[in-house]
Order: sequence, then structure tokens, then C-alpha cells
Amino acid sequence: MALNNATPYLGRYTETTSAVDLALAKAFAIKSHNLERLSISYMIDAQQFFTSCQQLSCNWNLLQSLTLTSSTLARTAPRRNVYTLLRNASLTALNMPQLKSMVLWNSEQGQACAVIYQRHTANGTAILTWRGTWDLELSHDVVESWKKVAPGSCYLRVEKEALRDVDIRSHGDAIYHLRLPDGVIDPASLCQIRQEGMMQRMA
Amino acid sequence: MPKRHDDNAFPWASLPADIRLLVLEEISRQKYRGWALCAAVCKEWQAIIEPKNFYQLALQVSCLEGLEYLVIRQRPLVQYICLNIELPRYACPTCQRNATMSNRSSTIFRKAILRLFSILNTWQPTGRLILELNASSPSDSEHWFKNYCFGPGHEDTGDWTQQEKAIRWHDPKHGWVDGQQVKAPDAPAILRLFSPLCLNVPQTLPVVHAVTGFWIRRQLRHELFPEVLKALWEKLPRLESIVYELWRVRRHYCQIACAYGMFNPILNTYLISF
Repeated sequence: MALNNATPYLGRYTETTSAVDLALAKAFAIKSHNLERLSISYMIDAQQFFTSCQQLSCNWNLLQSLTLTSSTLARTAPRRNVYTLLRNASLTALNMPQLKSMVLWNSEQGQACAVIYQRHTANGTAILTWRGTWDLELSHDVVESWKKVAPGSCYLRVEKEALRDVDIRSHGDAIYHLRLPDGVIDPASLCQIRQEGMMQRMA
Repeated sequence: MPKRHDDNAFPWASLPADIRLLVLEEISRQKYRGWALCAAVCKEWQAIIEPKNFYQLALQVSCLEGLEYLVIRQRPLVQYICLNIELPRYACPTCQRNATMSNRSSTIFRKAILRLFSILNTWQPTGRLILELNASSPSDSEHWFKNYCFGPGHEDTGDWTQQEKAIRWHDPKHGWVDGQQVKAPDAPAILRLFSPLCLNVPQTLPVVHAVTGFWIRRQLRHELFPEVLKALWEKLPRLESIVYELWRVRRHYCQIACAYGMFNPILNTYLISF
């Protein structure tokens, strides 16, 4: 309840990977060809999105910014699953020539993490950042696969930032502490989530 | 007396133009009561004050008449319109009952969007214009959901928490005792808050070429069926961006909507589901 920030969860719709989830991920994968920026949180899973993209095997010539959530980015998830997700992300990013920013994130009760890829064309660098309430070493093959995303002369820097002593009680807290880029949520809405979450907390 | 006044008259016109500009900018930033009337003083003031006054419009349904008579010169200054549709009040024990879809609310909502679209239909496409829809009843925050942000008035969120703490809601009937929520609302009360707004949009809804962005933010708890969103978006052919902060209780419907690929070819979008 607190995680969803007082969202009334009535248990009417069970959250399982269904044909509808897959169809939805595929619909967004197709639609994203026409988009410059796309951010979807907690509606489709990044893993399914990338799988759909790879099946499409074509280019996203407009897409500059992509932000998605994935349940794979959980503290208890096996590392190899996280690495597979990040490698799949990089394979999809190869077909996105304009990509400047890709953010994959997730939050659960008390935990939050994000993998943020940002390319700065001006100075020819790209940064792959792990930021989270727990520690994750990005494997060699993950880093190597992301090196291929940045064009030839672009230098890829890998950064890691542990979030210590942060209180994650809502997705709003997660978005705030992970310092996710603009476009994930409207700033006023973010304030509202955190405020409502705070009121819930006092109760 | 008039003589003294003349002697001390502020030499406004003798100030350099950039200083005058700074003063006018500051007036429009501070937005003291009546600041917008300054636009009527002269062309110089109008050029500074008016764009800031018309940049963002948060409207009640009763304001739509004013929007209709907005002169053509002022229309391109508007870059964001939020229509806050006030739904009927309700009392106890209705607040605990599920309202599957209130006929009255539905009529109010449909009439309001028809009116808004009819007005905006006459606007020429210029630059960017975002349209946001919101709807809530004043009673929503008076019964169970005292800590929720619904309509306008939560934009300035600076010391909200302090203010709310100071209120210390005490309404045991609705689960609040001495500033603490001791009982969560029952499912019917929640379902009332998230109940669908309408089944469809008026058939005569006109096309609006001026709008380039469409927002539904989380402050709108009521559900909009995919068919309704689709019908609205079809009337906005220049739509470039969509912001849709979706509540999880609506997730099921949205999935169906998206799976059938109803989205317009838009350039930017973000959706968040809680």
C-alpha cells in the first residue's frame, strides 16, 4: 500500500505476465518508431519491450530518450537476469542512432535502483551509471556491449553510486532519490505523490 | 495637493527602457493582486504583462465564457489550458457507496468538453498548446480522502506538509482521528473516487487544430475509458505529445486500449502507472 503511495489496490486484476502484457509491450515497441521521447513506468516491462524490439529488427531513427521500468531490477533478482536485461537494452540501443538517454529503473518497498545511459555528443563521452540502494557491479560483458552503442570515438565511462540512508516509501521517493531525468513524471505530480505518501506515513 | 503630486511624480518615462523592463518583469513575477490590469496602461506594459498573464490558464467550467471572448491577439499567448471540471457534491452515507457512473457527473463532463472543444475549434494553430483535463468533486477531499491532492491549488507545494500537519484532521466517521488516519476507506468509497467519468464523448465534438499536447495527470482519479481517450485524441490532429499518469485501477482498460494500437502518431509521450 505504501509503495504504491496509497494507490488503492483492490486485487481485481492480478499482475501476471499475460498475453495482454506482451501485446502491450509489442504495441509500444512498434509505436516508438514514431517517437522522439518515450517514458513508460509500471505499465510494461523493459524486458518484454526489448524482446519485442529485437523481433522487429528495424531502426528507431527518431528516438532520443527512452525510460522504462523492469521488475528484473530487484535486489533479490539473480545477477545474470539483470545482466541479460542490460545487454538486451544495449542491443536495442544499437538500432537507435539518435539515442541520448536511456533509463531503466525500478522501486520496491525500501529499495530503488536505476541504470542510466547518457550520451553527450558535445564532448564525445557517454556515461553508464548504476545508482541504487544496493550495490551492483556491472559485468565486463555488459560494459563491453554498451561500449558498442556509443559511436566509434565516444568514450564510455562507468559510474556507480550507492544511495545510503534514503527512505523509499513510494515510487515518488524512488524517482526523487534516483534523480531520474525530467519526463518520468510531472514535477507537480511528483510532489503530490511524496506529500500524500508522507501523510500516509504519519498515520 | 495636486501640485505636490505633480512635483513628486515618478519620472517613469525618463528611465532607460531596460530598467523599465526589469520593473515590469518583477511586477509580473510577483503577481500581486490586480497585476494583470497593468496590461491596460499602455502598449509597452501590455507587451510584457499579457504574455505572462495568458501563458497558463487554469479554468473552471464557468470561466469558459471568458475563454470564448478571448481576443484573437491574445490566443497565441496561451500555451497551456487546464480545465478543472467540478463534479457534484455528495454527502454521507453516499460517500461510502460505489458510484458506477453518475449520470449527473457524466453529463457535466461531456457538456464541459463539448463547450471547450467548440471554443478551441475557432483557434488557429500557432505554436504549442497543451490541454489538460481534470475533474473532481469538492466533496472528494471532505470525507475519506483528506490527504489527497485533487483539483487546483496544490501547484505551490512548498510547505504543504507543514500546513497539512497543522490542520490535524479529526473526523472519526471517515477514519481520521486527531490528524491520523486510523481506518482506510472501504472499497466502495475508493471505487467512487476512481469511477469512470463517461461512456463516450458527444458525437458533435468538433476538431481542434490548435492543441499540440494532451495531459491527464494523477490528480484526475476518475477513469477515462480507452474509447473516450481515443475519441478525444481523434479530435486533436496536431497532437505531438501525451502525458498520461495512469492509476493502477485503470490499468486493465488501458492495456486493452494500447494493445489495440489506438495511439496517434505522436512525437513525445510518457505514461506512468501507479
